Amino acid sequence: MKVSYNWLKEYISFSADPAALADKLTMAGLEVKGIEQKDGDPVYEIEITSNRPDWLCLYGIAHEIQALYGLKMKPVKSSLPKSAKMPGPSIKIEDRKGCLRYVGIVIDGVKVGVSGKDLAHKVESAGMRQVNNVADITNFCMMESGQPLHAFDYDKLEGGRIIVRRARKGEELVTIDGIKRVLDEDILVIADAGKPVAIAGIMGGRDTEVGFSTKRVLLESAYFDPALIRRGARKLGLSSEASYRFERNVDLGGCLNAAKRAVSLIFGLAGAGEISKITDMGSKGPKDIKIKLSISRANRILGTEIPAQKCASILKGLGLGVKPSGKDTLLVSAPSFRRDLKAEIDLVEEIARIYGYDKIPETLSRIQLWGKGGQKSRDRIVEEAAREVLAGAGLNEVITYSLRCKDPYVQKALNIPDENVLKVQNPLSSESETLRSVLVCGMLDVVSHNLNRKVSDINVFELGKSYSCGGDGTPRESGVLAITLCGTKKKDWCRKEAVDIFDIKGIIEVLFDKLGIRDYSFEVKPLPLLSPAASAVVSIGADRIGAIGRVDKALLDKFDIKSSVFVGELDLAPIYEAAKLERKFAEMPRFPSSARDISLIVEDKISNADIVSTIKDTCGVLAISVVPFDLYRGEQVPKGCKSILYSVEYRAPDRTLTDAEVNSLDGKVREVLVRKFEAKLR
Amino acid sequence: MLEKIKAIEAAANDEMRSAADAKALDDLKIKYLGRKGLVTELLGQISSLSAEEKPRLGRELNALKVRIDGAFGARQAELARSPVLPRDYADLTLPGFRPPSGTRHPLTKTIDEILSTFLGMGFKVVEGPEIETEFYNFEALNIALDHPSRDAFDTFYIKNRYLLRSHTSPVQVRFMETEKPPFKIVVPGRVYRPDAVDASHSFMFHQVEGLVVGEGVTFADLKGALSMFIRNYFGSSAKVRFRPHYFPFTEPSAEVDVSCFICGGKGCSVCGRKGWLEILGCGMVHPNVFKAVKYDPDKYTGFAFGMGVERIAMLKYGINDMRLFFENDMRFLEQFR
Repeated sequence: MKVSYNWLKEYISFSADPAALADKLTMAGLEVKGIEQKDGDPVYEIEITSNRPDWLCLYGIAHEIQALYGLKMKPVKSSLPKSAKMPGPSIKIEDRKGCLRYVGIVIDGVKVGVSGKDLAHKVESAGMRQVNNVADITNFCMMESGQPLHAFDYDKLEGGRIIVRRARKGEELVTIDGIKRVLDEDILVIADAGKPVAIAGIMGGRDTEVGFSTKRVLLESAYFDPALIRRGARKLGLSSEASYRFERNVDLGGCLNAAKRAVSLIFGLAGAGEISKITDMGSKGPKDIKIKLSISRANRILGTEIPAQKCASILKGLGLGVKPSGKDTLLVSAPSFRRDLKAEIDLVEEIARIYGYDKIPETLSRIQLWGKGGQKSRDRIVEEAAREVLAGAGLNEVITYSLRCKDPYVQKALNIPDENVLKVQNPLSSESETLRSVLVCGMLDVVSHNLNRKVSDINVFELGKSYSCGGDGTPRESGVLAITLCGTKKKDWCRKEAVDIFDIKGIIEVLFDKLGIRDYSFEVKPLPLLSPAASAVVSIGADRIGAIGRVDKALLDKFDIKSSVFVGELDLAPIYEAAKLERKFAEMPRFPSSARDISLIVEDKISNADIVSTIKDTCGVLAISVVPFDLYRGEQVPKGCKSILYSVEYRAPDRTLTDAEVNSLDGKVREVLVRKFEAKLR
Repeated sequence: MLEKIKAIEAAANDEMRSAADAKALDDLKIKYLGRKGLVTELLGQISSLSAEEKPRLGRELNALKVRIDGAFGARQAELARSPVLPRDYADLTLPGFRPPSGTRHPLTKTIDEILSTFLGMGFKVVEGPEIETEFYNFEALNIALDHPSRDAFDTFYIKNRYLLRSHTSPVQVRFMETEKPPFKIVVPGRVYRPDAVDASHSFMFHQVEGLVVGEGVTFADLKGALSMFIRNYFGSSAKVRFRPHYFPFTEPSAEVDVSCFICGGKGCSVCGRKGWLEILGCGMVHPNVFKAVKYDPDKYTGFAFGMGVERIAMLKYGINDMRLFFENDMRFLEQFR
């Protein structure tokens, strides 16, 4: 809200210069965002929090200055012509919930013209355009007291009467801004005998607007239901200075005074002749709210020792009624312009604000003792360890949007029924209308973003969530780790190598090692979205926890990616469960081991796992490790076969194996391999 | 004897010429002039010569020693002038062989740093779901329906009245429903609001939230704890100020500013010439929130606070566009090694 510094001085005399006052207001919760000079008058831009509609006017801010500096506000006078003979206008409130009060008065003989310099400056300082003297006075009064007013050309109201009612479906009104609005039952309107003439609390109608030819004015000062105005303004996509205030609650007790003030100004500035009696329909203003305040309790909450007298003077300064009751209690009455004050805690805040947050001490003693220091859930500890391991393995961590466009191709390939995909009902755009079921699409976005910028080596991971809808309609979210590799990896500055599916596998192996997970396995299996030549299911124990593979070309085409991309996506919950970060020392083996190399040619379909388990089965505990160390397919090897080399390490737990024993084991292994796999030994 | 002397001199000169470096030359020097060197050995044999040969050969040998020594010196200087590089010479102006090293995302890094500051102050880290209900996101937090205060919490809805949490505060409610005071918790998490994406807005962002509840927790404790956090996180010279503000779920509420660490409080473009940077929101837990979780507001008091991780990371790293966090350009990410 824009507030003129000089105009404020009309309601209270203070000596603070513009910068000092701005600082004082800011530190009391009226944040001055900026100061702008307008014709030699400093104008503040103040951010008013939504709980303080009473601050949306100069009175309200003057009240604050009164409390902050211990000053006294100047009274504002309204003088009405004494005898009103003309009867008051006919006003009927049909929607009593939507309109709690409607004050109307007719002013005859108005000379509508251009406002004088002072009025024009004030209206413009508040950021409004000057229109004519009558409209400018209504705006001036709104800025002064916070009560929005509306002036109708009385002669243009059919039947000379006002009806406050809901619009009927399909009724139309051209508002002051010249736009035709189609109304319905959710919109509260001011109607004359025949049709809506204004959207209540939001904007007046063009046809009944006060213009230079207007002779008789009907002035409206009303209270409309905040929620109804808010919903109406949202529905119409229309808001105004008036609706902004009605939405936040205006002073139900202030309608009549605001009307009188405007009439007295119109008399003074627009040379009116005669006024009608005042019609005041609905509530005459609510009673003050009484709140008991315990001084000791206030101090207990704030951690202060503010004396009762100081509390009382702060509350009085804010315009509240204060009566002491016993030593520790104040009986506070909050007038109708402070409907935000409902309970004791609201008064505690007012005392703290005006007393000054900066004067409240900083303490720690009590709460410092709680908590045993650094506590994290086990999941969080494992998650942080995983992030460090993956970054340590050379991957860059990414964060991709959980909301994304529909991916019908992916959904179909993964056989996810439509009802299992969570959709946003009010999306910003189709780019972010569903909650992701898998992370791979976001990862491919990262790949394509980088490739398009000529960054071709991409090695990333994300620890994020995937979302689904359970059969019972309950949304679910679960943690997922996604890893994506594309391009080359640097072995060193002079050697580069294309990334491979084994890079993904290796990273996952390292991750599991570091997290103390042992019983994991990779099972070769064709999977959707992945190339059948390179895809595997990853399991911990008997549970499948995810997959790794090379992304299928058809999916890459959707993202317009020409390079090979390797991905892994694993559920985090089973990883967290299986993780074992504690380590125990185990005695080093006491007896030396001996190794034997075996070179064999077998058919391609014989897997490494088959060979390793056969060797281990043959030797029992004596073969402590079986490791492949070379693999070759090519000229010297028959088609459909591979040459593969293993190093087998033998050791007995209780003695040194003799050469003869090791040779015998090695011989047995060779024999079994030949028999079982028709292997050719080299 | 004279022949031997000539042969040794010739051999020494030959070998010296082919010595490739200072080390080889030193070895040669020992071979000829060392204590057990070839020249020394000849000198030792003088005693066995006849009386007339002794002085002559003695002079010859000493002259040889001086000549070889001189030749060594000359060759040494020559080697120093034009070094011949050894075969395994390393040009260490070439780059090193780097082991793989990736980076943490600046946002998770910032979250971890904020959390570790609070962990050091005895807080416990708690997390909660992103998909929430209106009860946890609004009602239990004293956020009224159809009130302008709800504008700040515009929300994405999904079916069956579920929604994507618009702040991490629902976790406060979930925690209090199951736990008893006293406690000190911090809650990191992803949150969502339907804001169109631009340099300073995103429909998805991150917050860290905190809650301290017990008997006799005061606003002074809130000031003490958050000032301590700010000094621990932004440095001991950071100045802090608490400004009254409004949040539906706390009262009294405050916004906390830290003296601008770009300009030191003098005023610059980052702090909008104010010298202060708004860092977090906080306040005493509203009694209505305690009532919603069936805590007795007469017995317990507490404070809550929350901060935007993107904002803090942007200030800290000098990042000027929020979109960079979610584009995941390798050239951006690799700056946070």
